[in-house]
Amino acid sequence: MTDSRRSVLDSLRARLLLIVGSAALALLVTLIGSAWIAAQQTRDLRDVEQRLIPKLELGPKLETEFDHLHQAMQDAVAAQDAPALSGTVSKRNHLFELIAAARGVLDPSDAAVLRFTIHDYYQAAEDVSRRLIAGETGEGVVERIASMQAQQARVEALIKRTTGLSRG
Amino acid sequence: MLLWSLLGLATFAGRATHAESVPPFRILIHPENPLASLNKDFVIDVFLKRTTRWHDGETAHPVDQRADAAVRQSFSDNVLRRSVSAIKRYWQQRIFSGRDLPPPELDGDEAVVGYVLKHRGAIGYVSSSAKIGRAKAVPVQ
Repeated sequence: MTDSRRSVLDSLRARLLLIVGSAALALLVTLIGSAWIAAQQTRDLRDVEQRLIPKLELGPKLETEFDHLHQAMQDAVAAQDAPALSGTVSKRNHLFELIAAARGVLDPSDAAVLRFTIHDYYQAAEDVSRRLIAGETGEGVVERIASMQAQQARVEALIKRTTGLSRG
Repeated sequence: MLLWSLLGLATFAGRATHAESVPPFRILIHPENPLASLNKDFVIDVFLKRTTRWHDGETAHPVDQRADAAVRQSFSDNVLRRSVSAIKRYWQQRIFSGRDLPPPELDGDEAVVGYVLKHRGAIGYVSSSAKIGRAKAVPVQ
């Protein structure tokens, strides 16, 4: 075999090796890429299942329980029933339990702010209810009602914001 | 005996006729309010806060009297066409649903006159015998 023929064969072998190597590398990159994408999708799916769906379900639950809370206060005032008003604390506590149970779903600082806002609303609403049951009248009561309604609007907005999907 | 019964009946009928012709309350507005009379439906809407402004754009400030005041019951029955307890329920529902503020309930005619004179958009009611000072009493049609 002449030197020139050997060098042509070597060059051909090298090219073949290069082609096979490139193909193997491309296959490897594709496999690793698809495995990474699959892992990412699994992570996203788990996030949807474990965090986003429960978060979406939590919003209406909190809104319903909050409606029950102010409905219970309204009923107590309509019935002039101070013990029934005291009993509404269990509805407030139920809201706190829902928030505590959603530890993995809500951002901890959002959960704390929501809890404090509900607490403030409850204090204002209980105060207004007691005054209405006692038959208190005048412009002072109307001012307290306005303050209670502002707290109520804050709670409703906060429930929507913290349980919405726009936040992480 | 029969004579006394007939006399009593006649007196009662006379009183009833008098009560129908002269309502036991007067509706007051601020002296600078240009209106000379009010439409009954408008008064209802203002007191239930379905309307929040006067025709000239001024914010309406209705003012009530205490639920146990006779003048409140009379106004409620004659103008709002609902009992005081029905109005109370209406307001309780709106208070706790966060939708509206009820009119303030003031103690007596004097307080209502004071409120009406203080707020240009105020509207209130007092008993027929109340001293209304500069406040303007308007008929409701």
